[in-house]
Amino acid sequence: MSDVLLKSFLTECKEIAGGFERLNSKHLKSHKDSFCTRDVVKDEPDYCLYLYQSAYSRKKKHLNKNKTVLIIYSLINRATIVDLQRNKSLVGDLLDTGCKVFLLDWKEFGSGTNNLSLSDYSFQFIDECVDFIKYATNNSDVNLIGLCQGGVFSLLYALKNKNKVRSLALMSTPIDFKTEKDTMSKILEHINLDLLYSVPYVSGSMLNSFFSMLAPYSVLQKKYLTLIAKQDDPEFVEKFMLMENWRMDSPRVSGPVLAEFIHIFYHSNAFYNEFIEFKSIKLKLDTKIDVPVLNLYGAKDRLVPPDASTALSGMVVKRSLYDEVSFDCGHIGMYTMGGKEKTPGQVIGLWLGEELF
Amino acid sequence: MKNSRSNKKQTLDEYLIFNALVDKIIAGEIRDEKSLNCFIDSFCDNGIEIKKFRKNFIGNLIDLLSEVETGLYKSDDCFPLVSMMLNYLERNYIKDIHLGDSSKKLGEIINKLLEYSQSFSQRQ
Repeated sequence: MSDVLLKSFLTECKEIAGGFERLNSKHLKSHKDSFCTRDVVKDEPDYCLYLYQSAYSRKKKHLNKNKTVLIIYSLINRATIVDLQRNKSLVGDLLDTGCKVFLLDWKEFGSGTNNLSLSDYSFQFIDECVDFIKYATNNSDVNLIGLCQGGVFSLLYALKNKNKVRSLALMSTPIDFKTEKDTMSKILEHINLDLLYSVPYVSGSMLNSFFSMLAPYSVLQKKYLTLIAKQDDPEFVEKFMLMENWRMDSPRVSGPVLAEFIHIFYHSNAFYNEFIEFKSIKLKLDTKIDVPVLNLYGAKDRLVPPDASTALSGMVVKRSLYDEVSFDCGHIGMYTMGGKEKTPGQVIGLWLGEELF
Repeated sequence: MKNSRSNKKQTLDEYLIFNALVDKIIAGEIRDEKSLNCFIDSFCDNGIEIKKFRKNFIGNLIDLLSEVETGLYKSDDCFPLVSMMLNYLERNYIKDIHLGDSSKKLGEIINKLLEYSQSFSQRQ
């Protein structure tokens, strides 16, 4: 058996080498395939607020006033992931379920204010957008959709502004930062925060290196084997190129803001305390949430393990206010899902339409 | 190496060599038995060692690959044997972050990069 096994192994090695040669002879194109069009409705030094419209509005959707959503993205990578590919677009799915979709997109650090803090992202900028949307939509109630770190910002905002948020949908959002399988948390235990506070910004390439460290064989090697095997499938290659371009295009982020985030959440696991304290603005937040919450997470998420997300249930004051849905995907797959199963965007759209509130 | 998986030093050697092997595979440099032997031989510096080392290495490689056959690692991946080697290496890498001292070492690397960023920004 061992000879057969070794022979099979060498056959695979040969196919990989040949596959790479074939791949090298091709000119893989970088695609741009957004589903929707968007308009800048508010342009500030540190962020932009966009309003989306479907570019393929075959049927005019009846907009429900209760389905005004504000998507809040993370500081890592770009918010373009919410509408990366036709038919696999979070924004597209929300529009299709009758939502009016706004996106709060952070600008790259360095183009605006220099002395930013976590409270600017979590309170001031979101509040400016919520007020703007209320004004622009004849006082619609705003539903927040937070993505990963943007989910943490959204939750903090909702804790502080209980009367300004109709509901909260969190996607791939960490709540418990000390779960057993959290590899990122283990590494961040050893980060010198004084050093991070003193660095004006962390470059995108350094952030990419850090995320590659979490699963180097998957991120830097294994996925290329899939590319070799599926190089003749144009749909796969298109998605692969879109995802790679998105992954490598990481903006720089303020060092002090990252340090503050790591200190409050990764080191102090703040949502597990009775209060979260923001000393710079003298704010103490109660960690109980009393608006309807929908928690969406990937069962295969390695960056935010499922346990880290489902801990959210413990923060909601009434069981009837909390729903959670697990998807068979990893961290990023949540935003690019398509196919026959209901996507996260469709689930959120339907949830907002239910008479829960 | 073959019967010494409990020996920490030798397991580390095995891990590092498998790691180097997958790098060569992904670079398209392993195509047949000859190129595999050439890779293995590059770790030795005299004829006697080569023979023993090659035998042990192949034995360990087959042990690992056999785990696909016995279903220890279920794999629906393309190139299941090579993918399984990558899974094995990643499982060990992550295990060492959680149970060993890798998290500390990776933290030190990041701190060094931050020191470099700090001095770069001070020079600007």
